[in-house]
Amino acid sequence: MIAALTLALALAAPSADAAKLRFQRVDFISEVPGTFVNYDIPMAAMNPVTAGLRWVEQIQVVVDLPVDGLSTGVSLGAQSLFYERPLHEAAGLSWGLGLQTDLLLPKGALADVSWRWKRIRLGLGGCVTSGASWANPNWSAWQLLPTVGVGVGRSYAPTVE
Amino acid sequence: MRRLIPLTMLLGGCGFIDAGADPLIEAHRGGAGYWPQNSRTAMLGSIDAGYDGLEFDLVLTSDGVPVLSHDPWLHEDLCTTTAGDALGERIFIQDLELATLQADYLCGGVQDPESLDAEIVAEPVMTFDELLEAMVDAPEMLFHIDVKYEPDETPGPDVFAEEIMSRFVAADLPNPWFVSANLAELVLAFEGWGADNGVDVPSLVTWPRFTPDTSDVMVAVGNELGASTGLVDMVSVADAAGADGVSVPYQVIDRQLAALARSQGLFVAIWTVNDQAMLQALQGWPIDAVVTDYPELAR
Repeated sequence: MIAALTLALALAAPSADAAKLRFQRVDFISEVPGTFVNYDIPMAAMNPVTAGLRWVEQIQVVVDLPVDGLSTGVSLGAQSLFYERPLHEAAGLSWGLGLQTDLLLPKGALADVSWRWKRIRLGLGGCVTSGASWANPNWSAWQLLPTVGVGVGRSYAPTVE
Repeated sequence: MRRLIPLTMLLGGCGFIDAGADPLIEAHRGGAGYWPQNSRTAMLGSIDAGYDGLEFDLVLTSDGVPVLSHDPWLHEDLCTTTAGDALGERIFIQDLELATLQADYLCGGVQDPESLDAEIVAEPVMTFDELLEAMVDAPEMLFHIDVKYEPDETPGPDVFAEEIMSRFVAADLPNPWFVSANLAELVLAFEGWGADNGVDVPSLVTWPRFTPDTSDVMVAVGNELGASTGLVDMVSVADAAGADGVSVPYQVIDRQLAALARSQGLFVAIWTVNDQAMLQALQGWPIDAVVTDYPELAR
């Protein structure tokens, strides 16, 4: 699945119109890797220090790449490549597919629908994420998780040219 | 709902769902919230209570007898001389013969500042042999032997392995069991002893390693960042030590990494959880055992 997504992104890139390399937003709640909302928030009242640390780890800076709809996100805990297309421009809705990595080691994939309003981006979707890492490059265990993203920034929405 | 059952089974079979494993609840140091830690009273109390598991720590006397103690020395806050005097200076257990240790010192007769509700009972230090005799009455109880090897403060790993394992095997108990250790070389010594003697030694390595000289917070943060960036995880730590599982403090546990470790056949134990809400939450986690001072909170 990860290989297929990587291939799809690679194929999409050359055909897309030129865009700018520019800062887009900061995701204070990130959809990548998706474990914070699902695993750490429920434990936050009982284990606040760890939850706080993991919140910091998942804060993601998103930068648009010079390919329309393509962006990359970087946090301490994950790095992602994301391809986003408009779903309903008037309503500010988009859909997207992403590849999740851990220090560039493919780790999972996600799909979402997002809504932009002024400088805020809200994303809802799902991801499949593995425990694979450079320390243990093993993709035998996967989690299927719902994702929620909350980002703030200039947050350029993808457009239909 | 019926449609969801095959889907759940399918996803679970593919490793997609990290279903809760209904972890065993172990009495930490014999139930340090109720009785003096690692004491005879605690061990017998836990056996009577019928907890899932019993976790205790072993160190060696100068004549090579394993005794129950968390630290390589007599605990300054919990132990006194037989006459009731404070210890004054640090007394290492490896410097005392068993007869002297039991005749001259008592532990548990002072309130434990970390367990204010625990019973106060002054007793001589319990030996591993005494515990093995008591365990005859609890054949299903998990036996979690935690060994603390500290270079310069305890005998070497091979001595630990020989003295503990020879006694344990001789007792021929039917209980499920494992050994956990704070250092990879100690795990390797136990595994080596097992290989030499034809005994499969189930072992856990404690991760990360907290030492008296290092800030626990710094160790935890460093560990967290290493795990977050994928440079270290439970599986790689267990592999490096040749261990069958990992023993992890709850403060740094990562559910995803726990699921990965279990998917690869590793035993995952979490310590030391004393919050009732967290104990109950962990019942749904993909882990094998939870160590607590208060096992009753999980019932």
